[in-house]
Amino acid sequence: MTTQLTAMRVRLLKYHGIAAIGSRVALTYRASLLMRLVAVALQVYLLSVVWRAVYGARDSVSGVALDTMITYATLASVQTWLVTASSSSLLPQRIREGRIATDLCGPVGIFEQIILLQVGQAAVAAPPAVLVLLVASAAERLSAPASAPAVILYLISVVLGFAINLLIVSLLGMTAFWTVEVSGLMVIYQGISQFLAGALVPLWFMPGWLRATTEVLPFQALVHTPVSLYLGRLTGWGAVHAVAVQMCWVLIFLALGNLAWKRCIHRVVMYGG
Amino acid sequence: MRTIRIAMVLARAALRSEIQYRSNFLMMAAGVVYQCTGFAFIWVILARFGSIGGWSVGEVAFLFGMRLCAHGLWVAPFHRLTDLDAIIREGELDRFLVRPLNLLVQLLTSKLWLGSFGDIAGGVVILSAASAVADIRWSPGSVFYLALALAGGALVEVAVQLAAAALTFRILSTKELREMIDDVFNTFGSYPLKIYGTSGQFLLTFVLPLAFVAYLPATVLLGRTEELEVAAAVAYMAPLVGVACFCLAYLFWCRQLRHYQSAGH
Repeated sequence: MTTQLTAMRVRLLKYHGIAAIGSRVALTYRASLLMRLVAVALQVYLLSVVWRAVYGARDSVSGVALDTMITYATLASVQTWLVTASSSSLLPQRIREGRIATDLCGPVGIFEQIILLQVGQAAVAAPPAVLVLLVASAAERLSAPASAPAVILYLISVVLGFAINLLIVSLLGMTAFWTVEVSGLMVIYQGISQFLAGALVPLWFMPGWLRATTEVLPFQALVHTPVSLYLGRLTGWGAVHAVAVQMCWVLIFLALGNLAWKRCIHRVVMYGG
Repeated sequence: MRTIRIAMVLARAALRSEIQYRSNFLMMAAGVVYQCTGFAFIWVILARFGSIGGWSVGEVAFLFGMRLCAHGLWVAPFHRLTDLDAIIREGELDRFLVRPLNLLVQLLTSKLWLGSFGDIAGGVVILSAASAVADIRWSPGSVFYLALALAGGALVEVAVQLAAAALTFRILSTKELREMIDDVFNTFGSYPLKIYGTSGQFLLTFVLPLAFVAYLPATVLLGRTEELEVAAAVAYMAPLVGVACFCLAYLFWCRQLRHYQSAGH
């Protein structure tokens, strides 16, 4: 029992170490972080202007008040930024440069390494993201969270959304074992997933058939589910159900990831070797 | 003349090397998908709300198509600028400097990026679909003006990007700045600028010349110049503004180049 615990502690220490490296990488490129932060702040501003313009004189459309809409757009932008900030999977780069060879010799599995590095990066991006939210809430009349449980569910849901995106991106990154080049695939994934996640338009404004499609896809868990929880548009059993669905997606993609990884490992081909 | 001839030869060589890679065609498709999601946003909103700033779906689509075409037209020849930070840092620029051909021409033709052709294709599709829906009286004159406006719009974006890139000779890292500017052009430029209010329009016309990329020429073609805060003549002049901006930016680029210090010296 105690040996098991020590093994666990050692493992956690390793994990922490790798995540810390991810954070340090993100902090080294401060200018990059700053510029991307400016871009997200501008996007928040742009969306509030656009939504104000489309609402015009109306206070609420399809039962959605303007304030609610602006809150949605603000939270969605910042969250998308945070969730996808690290979504350029590190795997393809390492395969292309042949570094995958040394990575595979490390004491921590490469799949875990890559996820931990990105967790570390996201940890650095989180405080500025909160800062943008605070500035936005000072500048605009943002709606307060629906209730205390809503805040807790929201935070859990954001983390689950982050996990789902990370797992999908890692899965897509694994195709690099076959194709080497995946940047096109990543751009396509980002475009489609953001749209279907409700990062740009809330799903409740989408036409019926599109809404029905998003229901069966994992993407709404990235943005739409957390923000809906925050705004109190998902409550009671609906809220619990939504979070349970997110957890299911995490488990499904974990399983798929492990399965795919076993196949990938047989595909490692080194340049010149 | 000689420069143009050599540039064409180099560009053809770069193109040949790019089409060796099949994945590049996926990149092209990626460009289309990415830009289409931007349009999907506008489409869903307008399907639900009818108009934005008094502009109908067709009119906003026309504006979006113009902006996307101009974007593709600037990226197609100038995409290599995005690598400038790395080129300077790794000392690759020195190689260009010792050759008897304009530095910018060498830089741009050293590698092409096929993804930009996806942008142009997407832009043309949206633009032609929107032309059928929006109320535009086409004449040989207006078609000619559209072509000039797209070229002018591309030149405006080129000018801003070239000026920002020129700063790399001094501060070595401008990639993020340029990405951010590109982001502003792509997002803010897709809507009628009317919605940003008077001060917003002023900023996006005279501080950052974004209005000249698509909004001002689009108001000319859509017969909407009366809604402008500036004189209609300014909107008609948009293509010329592009040329003027580009000339200024090129002069700035040449001046900044004098500050270039090779890596490691």
